[in-house]
Amino acid sequence: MIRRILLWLVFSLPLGLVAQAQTAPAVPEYTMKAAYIYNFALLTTWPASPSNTFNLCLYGQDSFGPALDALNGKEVSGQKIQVRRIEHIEDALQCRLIFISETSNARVALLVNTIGRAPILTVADDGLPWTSGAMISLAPENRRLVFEVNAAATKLANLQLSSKLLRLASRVVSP
Amino acid sequence: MVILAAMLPIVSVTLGYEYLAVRQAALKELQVQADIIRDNVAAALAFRDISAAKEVLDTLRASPNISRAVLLLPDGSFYAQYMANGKAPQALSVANLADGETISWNGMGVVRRAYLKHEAVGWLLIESSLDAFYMRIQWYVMVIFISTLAGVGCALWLARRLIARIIDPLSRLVALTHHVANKEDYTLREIVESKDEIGDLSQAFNTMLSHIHERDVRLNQLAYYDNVTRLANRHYFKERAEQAVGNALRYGGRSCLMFIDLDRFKAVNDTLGHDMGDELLRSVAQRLTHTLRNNDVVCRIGGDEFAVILENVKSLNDVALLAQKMVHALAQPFALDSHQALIGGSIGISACPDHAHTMAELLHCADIAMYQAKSLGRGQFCIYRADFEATEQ
Repeated sequence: MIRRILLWLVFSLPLGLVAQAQTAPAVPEYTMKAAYIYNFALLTTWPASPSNTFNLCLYGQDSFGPALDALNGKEVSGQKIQVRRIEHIEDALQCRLIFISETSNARVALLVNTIGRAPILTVADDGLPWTSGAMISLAPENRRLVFEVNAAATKLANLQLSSKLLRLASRVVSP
Repeated sequence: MVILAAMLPIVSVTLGYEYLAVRQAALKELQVQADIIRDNVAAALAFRDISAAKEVLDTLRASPNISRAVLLLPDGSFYAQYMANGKAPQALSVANLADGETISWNGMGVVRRAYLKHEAVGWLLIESSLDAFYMRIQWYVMVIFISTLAGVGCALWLARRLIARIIDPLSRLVALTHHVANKEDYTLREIVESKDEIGDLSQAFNTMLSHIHERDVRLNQLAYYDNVTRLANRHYFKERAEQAVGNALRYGGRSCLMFIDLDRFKAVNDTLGHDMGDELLRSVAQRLTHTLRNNDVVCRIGGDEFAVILENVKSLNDVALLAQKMVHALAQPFALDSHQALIGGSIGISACPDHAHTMAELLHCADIAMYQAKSLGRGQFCIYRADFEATEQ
């Protein structure tokens, strides 16, 4: 009897592990972050662009799993989202929104400098210092996310954030 | 009654329309509120900011009709709820979520999907009670009822005035017409003092009656009076004689009858012409009337025949004296233009109750007496005696 149970345990464990590996759901936090990124995009007004594509870029570590790519094809401001990962800093200028999960301060500073005042919405993942110059900064709190907005930075970049967004921000740095 | 029956469909239709219109308006109101809320709450829903979402829902407190508002996530799971004061939280049945409205007898509901830009971020269910709506309908019913009553009251008052001004005078005129037709009394009048058509009608009516009355009088005159001499004629004489006999019998007085026949009238008529003849007759009438008393009635009953009715005669002597006077008067010449006519008259006298007790008898006696006077040589009078009849035979 006991030997049977033990055998069953031995065989089920690896199955369990395999099952887990196969379905491996994205961490809920990053699913939420992806949703938030999309919402930020919806609530921002960009200057007109001739292109059909809205380049949504990721700079740094990709912890999203499939969550970020799920945004592909969704519409923002009449453009279709194209998710990209930035390899070279220059590519950043093609983007409309950059999610920064790069941990190196120097790298982030370089990105921000390269972008300058281009109308690109920068969203910083948590853990990055506020002084990184990102326009929106995300961070988990309790079981949801909160975000802070640097309205000064958005103004400089000629980006207009909806008041609905600003109302929900935990902190807004005004110009 | 008729007015009420007429008002009933009007009132029902008005009420029915009001009910539908007000209900539609209430639903529109609810839809507008739903749209506003879902717009404002979209961002909070998108960012799962529950306190912000609740804040937005709480603005519904300003609408006392709203009984409940519920926010659902895109998958239909419950997110947040607002309940109006004093209401207990109710279970929520979430089946087939779709944009739409529901109306039941006790409430209205609106379901709307919330969008951030074009992205669906959840659902809003908003429910309103119909209490205020039913209150409004109640008020409408009361107002309509009162105004209907007022309307009916007005109509009744107007009708009453109409009746007084038009129907009543008309009825009186109609009654007058019937009365006049039945009783042939053309002296009645109905006065309607109003400066309108009814007044005009009444005036015209009265004028017409006056004309008929005048015509009657004239006809009467024609019927009872002799055109030539202006004396009463045979018809009048007959009636008057009847009366005289009746009075004598009833009250015990004496009524006398005189028949006067002109002796040589025919000769004058043939010689001088009918116009002169008429003139002569008029003169005769005048003389006879002059000779008699006021109450005595002189009538022309034939071509040259006259009759006199005397009532309350004291004695036959008086009558004889009178007859003598008349004979004398008639014997005088009559002046006609350039001619002079001598005619003379014979008079026969009878009395009731002395000689007769009916008019026919009285006439007969007077007639006999007159013939006697003629046969005795004319130009004289004769009082009836029974033995005259034997002589006649």
